[in-house]
Amino acid sequence: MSGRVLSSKEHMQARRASAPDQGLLERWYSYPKIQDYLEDASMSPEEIRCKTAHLTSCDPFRDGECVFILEVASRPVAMIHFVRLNWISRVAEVVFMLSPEMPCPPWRGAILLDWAGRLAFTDLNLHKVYAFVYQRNRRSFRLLTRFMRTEVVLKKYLNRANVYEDAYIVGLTAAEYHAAHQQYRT
Amino acid sequence: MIRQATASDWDLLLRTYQLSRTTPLFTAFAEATTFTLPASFAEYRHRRDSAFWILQRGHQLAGFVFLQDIDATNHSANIDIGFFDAPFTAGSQDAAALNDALRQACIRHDLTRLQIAILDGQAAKLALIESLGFQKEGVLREQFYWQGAQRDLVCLARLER
Repeated sequence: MSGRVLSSKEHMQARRASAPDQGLLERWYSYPKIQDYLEDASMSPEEIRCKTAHLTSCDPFRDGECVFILEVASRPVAMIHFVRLNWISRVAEVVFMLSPEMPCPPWRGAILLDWAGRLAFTDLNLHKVYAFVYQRNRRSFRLLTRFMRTEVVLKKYLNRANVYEDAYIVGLTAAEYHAAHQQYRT
Repeated sequence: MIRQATASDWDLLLRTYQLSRTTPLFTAFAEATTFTLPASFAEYRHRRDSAFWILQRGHQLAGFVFLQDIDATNHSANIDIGFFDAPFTAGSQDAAALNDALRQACIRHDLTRLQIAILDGQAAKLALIESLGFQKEGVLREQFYWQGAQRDLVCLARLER
């Protein structure tokens, strides 16, 4: 299903990342802020190249990973990466990235989360998704906890220059996602 | 009793595990496999970032301890403790030996954080792990499909500093 549009909502659409997206993801991952929020340690250009090559070629069944690019009017605005896909438990970790190359209106994060839920629970038919958030990424934590439940606080998990900080695991089940949608409709 | 695993342990360990299957094997933090094959055991055996101990009651194989995904950046590692029948009793000599082995491993690998995830409903194992100084950090809800139900995983960690 590489490159195929899986679902669409208003002017947004999600598609599987493929080889032509590697340059785009390389640029996004080169932003220090992105690395600071998503990676345990900063990455070299070679590491970024390897990572993005993998992201644009991974397969949910072969590798237990898949990446979607979210577009608004054909412009990429975000990435949704499902990783550690466990097809027995139907659970996956989800990594979000909003484009660092354009201003982000406040509602875009919420729409991104809604899309992640739709892809996870409708297209991939998962039971639950969870995400890691570093303590320093307060904006993301605030956004995620509006929709997802804080399940675990990993104390002194991340070491940055010998200063340890906590990380959080937040989770959302399919039932919670569908219940929230139902509530929104009524 | 606890001792380092040797090459001669692997066949017996694998056979015992396949016969008992008391709990799933956690190959990484909160990421379990229920289908452990000889190849998976061989992989553990050859992984450089792992350590492996055998737990014994007298001459009987009682269980195993994995120390894996040793993270040199964050000075952390995941552990999994599996028992083929009842876990060691909290506060027993065996539990003290296990505690000692973990402390030694932390010094050897320069670890400040050990983390473990266990299936819910394992009160004796939870009591043992808490007696080793692990503190509960939360519960991953409905995280793992096991024996016909979506089960919770209890996450615990022990900080060395």
